[in-house]
Amino acid sequence: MEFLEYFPNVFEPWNFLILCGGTIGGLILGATPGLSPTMAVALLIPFTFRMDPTASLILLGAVYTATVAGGAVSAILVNIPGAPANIATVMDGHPMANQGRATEALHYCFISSFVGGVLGVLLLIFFTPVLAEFALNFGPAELFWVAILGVTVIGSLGSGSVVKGLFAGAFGLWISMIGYSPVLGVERFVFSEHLGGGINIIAALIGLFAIPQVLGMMETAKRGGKAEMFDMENHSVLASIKYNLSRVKALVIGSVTGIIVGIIPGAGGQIAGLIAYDQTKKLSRNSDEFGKGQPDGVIAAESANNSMVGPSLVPLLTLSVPGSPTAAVLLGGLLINGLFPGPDLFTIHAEVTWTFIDSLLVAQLLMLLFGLYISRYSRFVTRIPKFYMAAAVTILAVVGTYSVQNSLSDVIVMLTLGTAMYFATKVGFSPAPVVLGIILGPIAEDNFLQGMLIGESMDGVGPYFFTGTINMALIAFCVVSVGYSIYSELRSAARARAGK
Amino acid sequence: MNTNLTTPIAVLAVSAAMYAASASGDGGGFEFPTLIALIMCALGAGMLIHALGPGRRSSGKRSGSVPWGSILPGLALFVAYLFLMGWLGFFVTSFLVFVVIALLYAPGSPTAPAIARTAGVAGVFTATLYGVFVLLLQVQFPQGLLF
Repeated sequence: MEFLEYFPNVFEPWNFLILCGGTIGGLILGATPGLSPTMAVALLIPFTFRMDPTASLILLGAVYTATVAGGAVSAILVNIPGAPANIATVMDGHPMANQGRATEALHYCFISSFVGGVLGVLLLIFFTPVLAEFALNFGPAELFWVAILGVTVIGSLGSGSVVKGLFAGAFGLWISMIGYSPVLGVERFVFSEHLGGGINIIAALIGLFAIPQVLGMMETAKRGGKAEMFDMENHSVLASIKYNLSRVKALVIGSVTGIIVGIIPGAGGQIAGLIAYDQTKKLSRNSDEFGKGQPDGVIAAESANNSMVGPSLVPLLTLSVPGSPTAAVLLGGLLINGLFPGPDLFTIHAEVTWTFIDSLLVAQLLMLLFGLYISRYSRFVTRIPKFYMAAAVTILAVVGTYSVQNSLSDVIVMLTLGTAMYFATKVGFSPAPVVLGIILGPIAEDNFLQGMLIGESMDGVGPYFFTGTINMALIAFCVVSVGYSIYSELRSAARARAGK
Repeated sequence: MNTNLTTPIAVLAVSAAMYAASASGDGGGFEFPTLIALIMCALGAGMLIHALGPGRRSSGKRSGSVPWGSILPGLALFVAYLFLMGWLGFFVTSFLVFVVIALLYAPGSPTAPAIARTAGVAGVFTATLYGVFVLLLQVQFPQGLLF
């Protein structure tokens, strides 16, 4: 019960203040259409740069948790999911708002998010140390395959197209090698003086996630259009809690689906929400009411996307393989604080790690309390005009990137990568595999070179990398994730052709 | 040219350039980048073959064309931001860029009250950033003519 030992740390004044601020800020950011959790966490990393590691991770974790729940506000009130994880919430949440039940829908959203979120964090607490202990058996070959697995899985499962996802991951790996080789000290691919220091992870994170969204807002900002203003009805919180907890089937399906999807590297919240919604609808006696304002739809989708948050950190904290794109950004936050995923997190850095995990549990409760309280005011957040959002995110991206190492070159790299990513998204590429490639590139290369040296001094490089139970299991996971994604893509294409 | 072919050809060209840069490297430290660039070339070739295949299906989601009329002013502002921040000063430039983006992308023509409101929002936002980054986090930004 090591997690209980560090629980009081969460309630130290500075940590608790950061946790409350992060939760409230995350709810507001999540409720703002156009600001995804991934972008919110990426933009916040420069703010945490000068904080101590514990406070920094508490802030990022609270924002991650709260933005996913807050995204339901715009899904329910504006019919625009605040985050990809809230896509399924739109289906019944917005019809409920149209029926004059907006407050009730928001109550279900926060209560279900709380239930799912707590279950997800409990899994994180009890499962992570076991997996971290297992990771002690990993040498350079295994760590190399883990890095490749991370890029492969997020490239294949987390993208619209397997080939494009894998290409994006490989591109990220390659550009992570710009600058000096950390092992041999050789200068590589410095085509411009601005690339002398290599690609800074934070600059890349901000550029790849924020700039395409800014340009996306610029595309549509001129059209304007105001969000509908709902009269928020008075609805008793106690009645909402009583009804919500009585919907056991929807809560269980949502939470279990979210936990399973979260622990699968790269899968992400939108998949969890959609699967949970679909299963709840199929198993419901009132399946014909789904899509017309059925509360079970909101309950299943929201418990799923928040129960995914904790488990998405399990492979991240143990094997450096993020369970979602936002977890990939969080990996950047860990690395800049000098924390490397693996068993050291639970031994050398136990205090930071356990305080962070415990804070996620408290964040769920704060998210519930603040969420229920601000439900009645949340409609105002959804009315922030896109042109202000685009301007604010641009300035925040530039200031945040510059502040990391006082470097104008980082700002140039951030804007260049972000602009290129905007055009790449137009032809079906996603930023998450590129980011993961940049983050995992140095880990993959270091272990590849170390493995080559060890292999040459033993039975050969081939046997070193391609034998052993763990190596073979990791290679099998890589092959299965790519194979399954190709199969899914072909099946979708066949269905689309049959539909035509 | 068929748009389905443009992407794989561009991908293949980028991969080939990356392979050429990796393979021409002297000494150690280039093995891994060369391997990655080779994989990228193979993926690019796969995309090209896929695009040339029956029905010329496009792979992955396609979000649509680029609305250049909306995007070009934004891109020009990014470049102007980079050039001006060293000359005018970081926060003055940030204030101006905020105002220009907000006025340029607001629906309808800018009116005097809208300009005043936007300048007020930009001022509060820039002042908040100044407080957080300069006063609290002690970050040194380029000074320029102003600040």
